[in-house]
Amino acid sequence: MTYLFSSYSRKLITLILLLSLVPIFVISGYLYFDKVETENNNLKERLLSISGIGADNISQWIEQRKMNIQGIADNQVMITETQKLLDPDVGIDESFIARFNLEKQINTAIHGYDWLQELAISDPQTGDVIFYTGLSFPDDNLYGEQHFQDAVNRKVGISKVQPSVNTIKNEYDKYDKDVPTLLISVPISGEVGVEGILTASVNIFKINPHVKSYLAEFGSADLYLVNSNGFFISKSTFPQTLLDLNLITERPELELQILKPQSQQFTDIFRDSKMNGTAWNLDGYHNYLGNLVVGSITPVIGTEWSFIVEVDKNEAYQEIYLLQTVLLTLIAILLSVTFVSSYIFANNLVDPIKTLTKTVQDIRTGKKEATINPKLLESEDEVSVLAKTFDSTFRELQESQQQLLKTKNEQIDNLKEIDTAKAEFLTMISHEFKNPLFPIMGFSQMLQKPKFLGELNSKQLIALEKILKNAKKLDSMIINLLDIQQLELGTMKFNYVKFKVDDLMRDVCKKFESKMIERKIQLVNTTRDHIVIQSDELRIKQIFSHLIENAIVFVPKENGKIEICAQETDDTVLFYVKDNGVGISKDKHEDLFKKFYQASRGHKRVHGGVGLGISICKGIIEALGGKIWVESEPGKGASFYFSTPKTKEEGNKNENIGN
Amino acid sequence: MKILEIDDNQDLLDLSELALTSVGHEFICADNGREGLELIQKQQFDVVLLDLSMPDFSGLDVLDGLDKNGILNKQKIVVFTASTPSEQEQKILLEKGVHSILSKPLDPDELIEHIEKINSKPEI
Repeated sequence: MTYLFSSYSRKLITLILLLSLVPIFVISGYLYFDKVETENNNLKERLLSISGIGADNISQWIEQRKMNIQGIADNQVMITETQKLLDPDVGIDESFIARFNLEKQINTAIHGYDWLQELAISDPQTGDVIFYTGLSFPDDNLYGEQHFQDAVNRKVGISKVQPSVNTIKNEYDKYDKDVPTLLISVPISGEVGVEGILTASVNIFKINPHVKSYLAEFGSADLYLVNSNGFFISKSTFPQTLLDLNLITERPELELQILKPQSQQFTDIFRDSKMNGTAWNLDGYHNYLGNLVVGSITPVIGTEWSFIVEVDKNEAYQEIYLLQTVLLTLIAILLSVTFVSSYIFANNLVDPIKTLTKTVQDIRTGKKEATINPKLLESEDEVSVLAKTFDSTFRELQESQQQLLKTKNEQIDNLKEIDTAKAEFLTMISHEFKNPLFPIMGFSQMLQKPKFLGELNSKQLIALEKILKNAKKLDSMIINLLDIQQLELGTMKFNYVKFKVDDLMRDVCKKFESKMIERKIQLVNTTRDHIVIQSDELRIKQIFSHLIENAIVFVPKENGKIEICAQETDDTVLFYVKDNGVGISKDKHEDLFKKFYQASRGHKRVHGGVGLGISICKGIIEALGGKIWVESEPGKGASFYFSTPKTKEEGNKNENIGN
Repeated sequence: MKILEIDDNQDLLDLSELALTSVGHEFICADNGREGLELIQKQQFDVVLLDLSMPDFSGLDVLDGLDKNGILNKQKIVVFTASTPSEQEQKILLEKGVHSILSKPLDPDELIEHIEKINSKPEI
């Protein structure tokens, strides 16, 4: 769902599709349901008319047969001769003549009645059969039969369909046994009452042409007549499948019942008919073969039969199915066309926006050559106006940005100039400070030696010593200032050489030997590892000097102790300078490495210097690719650690080497 | 020995003169590069002490001038620098034909010792 509305073009396409769907569905739905209704009505009418007319025909046929038989019975000869036959006073001869007359009369009467098989006359009092045509009659006595009793009561009686006893013609005009037959009994009425009962055996197969007469209406129609128990009486077709499926042994009549094969219950339409008489089913139901059919059923008046017509559902709804297919295809085509056209339309509408967005993105990601597509500016629509507005805004912005950039660059250039001037000035000043120091130191040293300018007394020598010491201090301060300047500007030069750390540590100790004796401080070198590294030896010595000078300031006057050490780790060397001085509280550890820190804290400045030493150490060790830190607590001394890579490659590669 | 020192700091020149003459050397000085260069071109010295950082005409200009006249190799030149030169700078100076490099400040005794060492060593 979110996908459908994730862009304008998709929104448009969805909207157009939705809008077009409504009329498409309304029209096609109207067409479809209208057609279905008409078709259903047509189908219902056709089915009902077939079953109705079929039932009518059968009914009339039966009525005609009844009338035919009644006609035979109503003949004067029949009445008179029946009277004679039943009269016990009539002699055998007269009775014989009566039989002869009857036979003659019947033969004349039944001429052309191919449906008539046998005729019998029985005694209305006893039911005994006293006369019959043909070789035999199924029953000797008819008293118990309903049709007989009906005839006694001056009505036409009709029996249930039953298999013939005699061999009679079947539907193919072949002589056959067990052909379904029907008995019709009529009274032979004289002037005084019922003289006798005429019972005729009717060959049901003669109904067949009437059942078949509507077959042409539907190709796959199945028309049949069933009795109240659902047994077939007559059938329009004789499918070989019934035999193949063992549903029947000879013929469907009186053998096959209209039961659903799955449940062995009456088919839906027959069940409905049992309750309502005439019935139809257009939704489709399973017939006695299990096929899905539509159909209708009409009871045959005057009998307990029903006339059924069934048509394959697919055939019956052929037109509707065709309409369905046509409509679906039409909808599919319409939707495709709508989709394609809405896609093109939406893209046409959205493309300029996309182009504009792309340009804005390009500008945002810094593509300087990004400009609005000129095509966008040509038209007069809303997007074009937006593009034009954006274009001018963008140009203005570009101009002001360039102006800003220019100003900024000028300012940066100015600052750089000032910075360079400052650095140059500081370097110059430092050098200038150094210059007067050289003669001071040189002449002082010369005065110390009698061979140059004669001997001085001891007080003069002490004074001279102090002059020289302070001159040296000033010299080292100037050197520190120069160093810090170089570290800041990144112009400090480093000489990478391979050297033994043992030697370095020994040199450091040696350098401070006299100073330590003078100050009664114990300086211990606890280095055990024999390490060779590639680094700047002089600079590392410089770090040690600064750290030791720093330690000297803080160790106690009595029993001052400083330990220096170098330890090898995987690819670095760890150095430390440990003292037993006053220590530094943790919150000041970071500040230690800031420039001029010592100068700004209210510490008693025992040692000269402006607090550059540790800051220089940090600058140098970082330029060498190492790091420096302190571990200390007030009253527990301080330990300054610094590590440096063993080889130049592992260290900082950016520093400039001797240029 | 006949020694020339070129340095813009007159006090340092005085210091060297005092130290070197006290041990019997002949000391001549020039307080700027141009004058020094002229002196070297006119006469031969046993050792020339040259300050690198001088205004206007620096020690390096002097070295270039000597190089142009082809007399750089004929003079033993000791260069003074105020700051410790890097290895690269040392290498360049030595390749130019400078004999040795000394850093300021220098103890008078060290200076004497250094100069006397130069002359006792046979030139290669």
